[in-house]
Amino acid sequence: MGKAAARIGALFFIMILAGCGGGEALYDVTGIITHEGKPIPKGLIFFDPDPTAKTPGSQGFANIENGKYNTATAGKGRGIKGGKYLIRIGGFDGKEAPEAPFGKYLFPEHQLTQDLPAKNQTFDYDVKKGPKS
Amino acid sequence: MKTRARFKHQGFTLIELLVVIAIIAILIGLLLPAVQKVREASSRIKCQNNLKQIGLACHNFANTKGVLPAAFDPATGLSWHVYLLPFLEQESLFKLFDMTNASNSHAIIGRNDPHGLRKIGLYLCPSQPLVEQAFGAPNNTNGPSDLIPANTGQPPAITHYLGVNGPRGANPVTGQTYPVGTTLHEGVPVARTGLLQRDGDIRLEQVTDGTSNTLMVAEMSWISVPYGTRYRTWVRGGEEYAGMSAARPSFVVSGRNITNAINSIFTANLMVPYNDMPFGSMHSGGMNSVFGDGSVRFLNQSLNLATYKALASRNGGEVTAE
Repeated sequence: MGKAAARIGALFFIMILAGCGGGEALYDVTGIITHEGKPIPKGLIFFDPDPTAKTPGSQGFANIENGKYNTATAGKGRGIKGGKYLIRIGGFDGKEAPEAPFGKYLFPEHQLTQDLPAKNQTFDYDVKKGPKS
Repeated sequence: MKTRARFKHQGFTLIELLVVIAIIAILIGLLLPAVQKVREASSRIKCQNNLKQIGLACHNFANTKGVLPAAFDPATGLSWHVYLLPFLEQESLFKLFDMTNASNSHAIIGRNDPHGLRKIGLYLCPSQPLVEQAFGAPNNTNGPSDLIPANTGQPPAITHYLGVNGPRGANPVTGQTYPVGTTLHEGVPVARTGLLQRDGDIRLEQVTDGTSNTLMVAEMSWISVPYGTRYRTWVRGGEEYAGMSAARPSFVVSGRNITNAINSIFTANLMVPYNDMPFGSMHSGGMNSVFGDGSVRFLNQSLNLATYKALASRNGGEVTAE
């Protein structure tokens, strides 16, 4: 009798654990974004799947704070599936102003394309000054 | 002795009491979250119903006028929300609006801005408690152009449903960039291939992707605490400056581009350029939307970005089967 109860209990436990699994398989990207060598005080980074390269999935994104970002940050980030990405970086001075909690733009939105493998990874990048005129 | 034995049988032991309390606690624990879930489910259905009404009103508008409503009317600065009122049984409210054309008419205080104080239930998602424009730093607004009723000290009501300007980015079929306007607002142009456009010259026959494959109106009811949002009064559609035309609107208040995924980074969203601010909602996992054929669908936030953009364009020629 006691054994049967223990077995039922164990089965229940396994079923509950199994129920927690599932969902999308996303890989996280983390790293440091600098602008002319200095970490970006506050910013945004987006990973847009390249539609012409048939990269699957929704958009990856993260908040940048003191140069650091991590797409795994709950509620403020989402991972990627892997493939060719259009990466868009917005950097701000971090001085709060009306309608601008992150402050002023340090540079116009910076874009680059990058192949990112389907695994958790680090991606560091430095936004340089635009081409000299 | 006899009485004492009977007394012993009538009472509850401490163990029995504890067991009963434990069972009640478990039942409450199970039921309370369920009540919350049911409440959210009903809000979601109410929200879908609102969008259904908006979709039908757009079709009735198109039947009457031959074209879909304009995102905003450059002559008055009023949004499509105002022009749909007669088709939502709000004819008497619609008649209160002053539609005469005047230069900079959107900025005339006391003209149409007081109507923004009225909350229109059909334009609000019940899952989002914030129904008024946020005031105070860092949500400072720009005065008359925001159609804030003067001297009332009262914030105007907002709307949680905005038109889809169209997609911004590369078309996967042609590899070319989706057409956009030529003037910029916060560095970003207005997309030009959605259903609700500045001039409202879109006839249903022109929707070559098919109305059932094209987004018309979607939810923007997320909130970014502690910054509030950049929600604006529901009557405001946009403003025109000298030199602007249908090809060159710099921003639309009553619509947004599809550039970013549904429900992306909430707090940081305030730093996304106004035209590009992502759609999203408080419903878990996605948002409600109404398509060009009047069908209401829940779009999952994990929706392929390319598919999402394809759904936003009316004539991109993309294959949108998931």
